[in-house]
Amino acid sequence: MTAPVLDLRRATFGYDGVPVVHEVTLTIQAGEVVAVLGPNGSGKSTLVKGLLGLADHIGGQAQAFGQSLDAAANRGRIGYVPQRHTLATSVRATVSEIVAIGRLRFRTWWRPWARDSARDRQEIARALDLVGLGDRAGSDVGHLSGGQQRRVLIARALASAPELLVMDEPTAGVDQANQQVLAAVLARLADTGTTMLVVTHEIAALADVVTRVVAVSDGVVAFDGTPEAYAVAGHHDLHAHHDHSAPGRTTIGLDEPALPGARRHA
Amino acid sequence: MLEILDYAFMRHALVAALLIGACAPLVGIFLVQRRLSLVGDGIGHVALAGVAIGLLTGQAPVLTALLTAVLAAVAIEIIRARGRTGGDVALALTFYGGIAVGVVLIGRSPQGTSANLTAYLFGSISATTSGDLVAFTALTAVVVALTMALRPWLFAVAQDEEYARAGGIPVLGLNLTLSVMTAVTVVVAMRVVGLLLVSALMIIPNAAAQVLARSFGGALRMAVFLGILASVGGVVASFYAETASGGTIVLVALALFLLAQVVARVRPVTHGLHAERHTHEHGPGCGHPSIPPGDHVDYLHDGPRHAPYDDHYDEHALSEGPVR
Repeated sequence: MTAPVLDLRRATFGYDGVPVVHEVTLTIQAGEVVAVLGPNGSGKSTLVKGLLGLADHIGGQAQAFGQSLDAAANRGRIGYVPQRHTLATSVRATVSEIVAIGRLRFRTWWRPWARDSARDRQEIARALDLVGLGDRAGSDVGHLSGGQQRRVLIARALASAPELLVMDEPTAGVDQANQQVLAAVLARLADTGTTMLVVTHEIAALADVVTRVVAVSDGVVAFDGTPEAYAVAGHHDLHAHHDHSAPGRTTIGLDEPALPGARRHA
Repeated sequence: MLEILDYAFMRHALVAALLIGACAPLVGIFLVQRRLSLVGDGIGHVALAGVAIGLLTGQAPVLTALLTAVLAAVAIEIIRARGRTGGDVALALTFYGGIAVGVVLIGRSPQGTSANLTAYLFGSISATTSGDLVAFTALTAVVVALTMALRPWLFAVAQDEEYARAGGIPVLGLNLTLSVMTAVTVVVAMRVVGLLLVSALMIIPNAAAQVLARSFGGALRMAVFLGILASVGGVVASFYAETASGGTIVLVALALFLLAQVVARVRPVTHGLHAERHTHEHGPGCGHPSIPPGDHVDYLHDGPRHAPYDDHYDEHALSEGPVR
């Protein structure tokens, strides 16, 4: 039996020695799609930042892929989609230049000639196709819509061939049409067996993708179970804003080439 | 024919200009990307204190300036990385302290004439010695080689520091390296451009290239080209016009920036790049197929539907496959 993707035992994370999330016990197996829910300030962002080494691991045990979370070897195995509203900086960069950042974990600076290998280009193209931006590789990221920029962030993480994909609020602040596109991208990733941990404060948009809900409240895990059990427990009406009969819903499916710009593979 | 090359000092100045023209924009693009455009200026202030120490102790000013600038660069990066409130003020104190110490000490040194001070602050075509050139060539070679080798990592850190850290990229080490390379560039530029104008050659060619280029790689190459054009052109112009070389170089760079603005406005945007800029307002008769979804009209081109909305176009999810 292989080690779980993530294994937290009474793990505490925080900043500058001050705990924010306390004694989290959580085991995630390969292929699970876990939604981490909670209001602002509940500690859910600190939890994922702890997994990525961006917040301090203060107490308890934390392992990823059977090794200590703090082990250098684990850096890069967890793909990260940060909560950012824009990718644009004060200099120009194309979509593929941004996604290429994800490939850096496979490169060495002392062999600059080994860069931009056929493999790198292939993986960048594949990641962009997965998020439906295959035809935008050469576009300036500053000229993309907010929803498209989110998908570039996802592609950057995918290009790093992560064994666990951690996303911080991927659907926050985008309009409903783009939320549906992002949900379709996540569904497509789930279909390929990608293990995902998605921080969100509204599960409705992702209800069909998620296999498990972990609710964080006041720095502790308050619920851990199936989405159905979560709905039954009365925490939240899962399908409140998720009308399956709405026109267009069925067209954003998995088997349709519904993502804008997605290339069809022969 | 080229009487300009008959003078040894001009040959030195031209080689120094070539080196700095290539080196400054290469380092500068990462400073612009990190919104630290003025940090080179600050390091230049501190380097003046290094020059003064050299003049007082009889050491080579280039060497003492290099040591002082590198120390300042490391200190600046550490203050910045700690991110404490007051870091901004600490930087200002360092910069003004540096230039004040420099001005006072140079005044007390045997060669402390105001002409000498002006040459250090604003550059002079007659200042570069052959000994300087050897040092400048070696330093530039190291900076250029290191920047090219580390470019993807420097880009990643400047683009998204948090993501870089999560991916295990040594963020502090790369930022320190960039800061030290900035200090080295300041010293290489000291003779021809001057310590107060050094930063301009790191920033202005990049500002111009950003207007013209479409990618980071393209902008980088363009900035180096414009930097060399400005520095070599500025040295030649200052020889004939008998002006201070630093100021002349910066004026040439600014002229190139204005020219870039004009070119960018005049240049027709080809339709192949329409994803970045629209050549026309979508409307009836523009040639793009339209879909009426009800209350407004969307236009189809290259996949996503574009709906005019104030000053931008919304990308809508398509309810069918991309139309080509």
